[in-house]
Amino acid sequence: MDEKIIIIAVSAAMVIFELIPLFREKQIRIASVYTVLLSLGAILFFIADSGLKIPGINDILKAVTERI
Amino acid sequence: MEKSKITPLSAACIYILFMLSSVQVLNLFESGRSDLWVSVLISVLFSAPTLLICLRLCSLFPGEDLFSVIYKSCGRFFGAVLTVFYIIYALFVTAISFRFISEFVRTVSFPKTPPIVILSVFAYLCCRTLKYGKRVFSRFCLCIFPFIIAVIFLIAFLSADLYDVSSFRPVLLGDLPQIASVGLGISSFSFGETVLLIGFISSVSSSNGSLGLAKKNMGRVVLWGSAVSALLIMGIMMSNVLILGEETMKRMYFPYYVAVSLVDVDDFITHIEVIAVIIFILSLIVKTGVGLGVTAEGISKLFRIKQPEKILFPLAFFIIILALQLFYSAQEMTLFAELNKYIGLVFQLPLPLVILICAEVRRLRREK
Repeated sequence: MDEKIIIIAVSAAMVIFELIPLFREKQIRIASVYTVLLSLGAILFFIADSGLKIPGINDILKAVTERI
Repeated sequence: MEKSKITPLSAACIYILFMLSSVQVLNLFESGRSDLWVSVLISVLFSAPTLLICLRLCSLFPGEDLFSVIYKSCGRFFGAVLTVFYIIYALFVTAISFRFISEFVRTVSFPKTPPIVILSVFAYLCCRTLKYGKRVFSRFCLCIFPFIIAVIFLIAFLSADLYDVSSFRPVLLGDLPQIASVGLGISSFSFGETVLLIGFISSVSSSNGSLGLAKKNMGRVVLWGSAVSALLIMGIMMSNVLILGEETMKRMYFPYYVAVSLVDVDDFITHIEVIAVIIFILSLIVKTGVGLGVTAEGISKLFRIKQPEKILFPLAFFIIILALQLFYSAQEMTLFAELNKYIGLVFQLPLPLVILICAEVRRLRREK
């Protein structure tokens, strides 16, 4: 199965079963942190998946290790 | 998650399993040397200052977690900055541990399964356990601890006839800088991470729940935990060298797994590597759980959230994605481990020292 489908399914489940109830209960602070973490995860995944070469963590670490 | 108390025995179990987890099965430091036991001793020496700093902080702030200690000793602004640093460190430690699990499972049994599936299963397990509080998590550790220790001793006993004592010699012929470098690596992946662990087990209470005794309990947990885990790590590493030999061990990513797979008692007891897989995964679940809990506590402290368990799932989601980007294969794990020695050191010695100095200055001011 494609990794993208898994990520989208998991994110959707989290939004439906956890994030929306948090907003309904007016726990805005928790809901905001929740949204930020979820979005950061999704953005990081899609950047990596699109093959965009903003030097990835791995590349930076490799370069630093070679220096050391 | 914050108010739940952990008994000293459970805290010791969490401590030992946390220390054992990464160094138990992985060959992270190309360390197939006969001097490995010296490296383990050196790693204890390297981490002694960190352990002492942690103990002092625990005695200054009994019953407080890492982030409360940071805020109380460094003030609001500087405390927030340090909290961000430690959240990032905890995120990376957890992501690395998650990735170790997925690489191990993929290499050993499910090579075609996407890592995200394996990671999701383990992340869900950690989140569900932590969702019910530290007490449940600590009981989980207490339940699995005797099993893990029994299996380690059973495997050592069954593989005794495979030991080749000649691989143990010559002793202490290696160059000291290299032995010390391996020691630093072991320290960075186990004892040095005590800094994070105090964030989790700091709510150790006495049987009657008083904080006065918590100081003594914490000291006992850290000292006994370090001694027992150092002995176990030394035993596991030495048995790997004795069974596989120096040259073979250097080429293995998972030497303990390979060493255990060689055990064959008269064709009656064979393939016991399955048990080694179970204990490795169980102990790594403890480490990832602790990392996840500490990160959640850090974020909740930073954003003043009262229920850290509510952000466990998105946090686990983010950590899984981060874990997938850390390295692309088992080969790169070694490279990453090499780098972690130096990055980890910053969070394990200089920053705790800064926190301790701030805490002592505040204490002296208060006493005046």
